Amino acid sequence: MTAFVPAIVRERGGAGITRQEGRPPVPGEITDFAEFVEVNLPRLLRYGHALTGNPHDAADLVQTVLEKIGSRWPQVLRKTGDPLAYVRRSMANAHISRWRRHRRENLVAELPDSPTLVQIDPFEHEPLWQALRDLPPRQRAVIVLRYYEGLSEAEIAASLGVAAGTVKSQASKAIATLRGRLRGDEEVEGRKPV
Amino acid sequence: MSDWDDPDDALGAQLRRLFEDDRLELRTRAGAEQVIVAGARRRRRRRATLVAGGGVLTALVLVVGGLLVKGLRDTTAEHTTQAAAPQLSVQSSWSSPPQSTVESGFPEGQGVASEVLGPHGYRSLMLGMSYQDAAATGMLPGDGDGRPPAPQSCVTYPLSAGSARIGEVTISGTNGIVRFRVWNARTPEGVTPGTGLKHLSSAYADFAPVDYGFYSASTGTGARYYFTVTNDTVTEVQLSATGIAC
Repeated sequence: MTAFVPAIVRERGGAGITRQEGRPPVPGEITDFAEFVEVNLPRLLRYGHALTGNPHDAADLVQTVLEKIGSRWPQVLRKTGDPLAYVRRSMANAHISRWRRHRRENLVAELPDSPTLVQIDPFEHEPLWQALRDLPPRQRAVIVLRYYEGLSEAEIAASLGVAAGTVKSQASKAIATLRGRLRGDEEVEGRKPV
Repeated sequence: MSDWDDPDDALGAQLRRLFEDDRLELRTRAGAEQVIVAGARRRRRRRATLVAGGGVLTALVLVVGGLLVKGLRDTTAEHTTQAAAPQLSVQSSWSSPPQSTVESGFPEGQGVASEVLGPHGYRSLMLGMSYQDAAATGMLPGDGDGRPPAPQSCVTYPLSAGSARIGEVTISGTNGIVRFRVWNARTPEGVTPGTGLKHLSSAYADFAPVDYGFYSASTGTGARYYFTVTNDTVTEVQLSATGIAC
C-alpha cells in the first residue's frame, strides 16, 4: 500500500474556488516555491483531475506545469499577482495543447473526441462525468473554468487566449453535447430526461 | 445570452455538484512536493548551465579550442546525472481497494515493466482487432460499458489485467484497435517508463521528435511508437496505427 502525505487542509467545492488561500510567497526563493507547492498541490491535483478526467494525466499535468513554472518562479511572481490562478490557467492551456499534439500526430488523421480516460474511475456510474470526459479538451476546459473555477466568459477567453465568441461557441457545443448525452442515458434507462 | 446565464440551468447545477464531489480528490505519495521542487531546480540548473555553458564555450572557442571538448563533456555529464527524474504518483482518495491503486508515474530507474507492448499489440489485443474480439479477451472492464464504437468513430476504453487498470485502448468502429496506451510496459527494444532519453534515441533508427516532450519511432510494421518524455526520462509509451481516420 502506498504511503500518503497527510491530508493538507484544502478548499472544498468547485465553483468559485479560484483564489489562493495560503500566504503569498516571497519572490525569488525556491523555498517559497516549495511552500506554494505544499499548500496548493492537493487542490491543483483535484483541478487537474477535473480537467483531464483521470488521475494519471492529472498528476502528469500538474508535475509538468509546476516544474516549468517553479524553474522561473521569481519571474512568474513578478508577472502575476496570483500565481495559483496563473498555474491553473497554464494547466488548462497545457492540457489543450498536449491533446492537440496527440490528436495531430498520433493517428495522423484523427483521434476520437474522447481525449482522456480513466485508469481508475470513481465516477464510473456518473453519466455526467462520463459525458464530460468525452468532450474535446477545449470544450471541457471551458466547462471546468466556468463551473469549477467560476470564471466569467471574458475571464475564460483571457485564460485560454481565445476570443469571447470562441468561448461562447465552445460552451454552447459542450452544453448541447452534455444535455444530449444525459437525455440519451435517461431515455435508455426509461426515465424522464433532465 | 449564454446557456450558462440561465438561472434555472439544471445542468449547471449538476456540474457544480459534480465538481464539488470528494471523489475528485487525489492523494500523493510521501515526498511528492519535494519531487516537484527538485524538478523545478533541475530545470533551472539546466537552463543556467546551458546559458553559462554557451558563454563559456564562446570564450573557449576564441582562446583555446582544445578545452571546448572538456566543456561539452561536462555539460553532457550534467545531463546524464539529471536523466533519472522521479515522477509524481497519485492515488484517488475516494477509496482504496487494492484494485484501485493508481501509480500515475513511475519511480526512477529502468526495468520496471515486464509486459511487452509489441509492434502489433499488447498481450492478446492486436492493432486492427474489432471491438467484439477485444471485448472477448476480457481486457475491457465491463466490456467497455457494452458500447461498441459507431462506424466512422472511435472510443477509448480502459484496459485491465485481472482487477488492475493498466492503460487504455482506442478502438475504431471501422478499423478496430488503433491505439494502445499502457502505463507500465516495455517495447521489444527495451524502452519503458524510466528509460533515459539517451537510451531511447539509440534504440530506434528513425527516432525523431514530434514536438516538445514527444518522440516517435516506427515499429517497422506500419505502426508507430510514441514516447512521452519528461525531464529526459520516458514517462509513457504508446503504440498507434498510422493513417487511420476515426
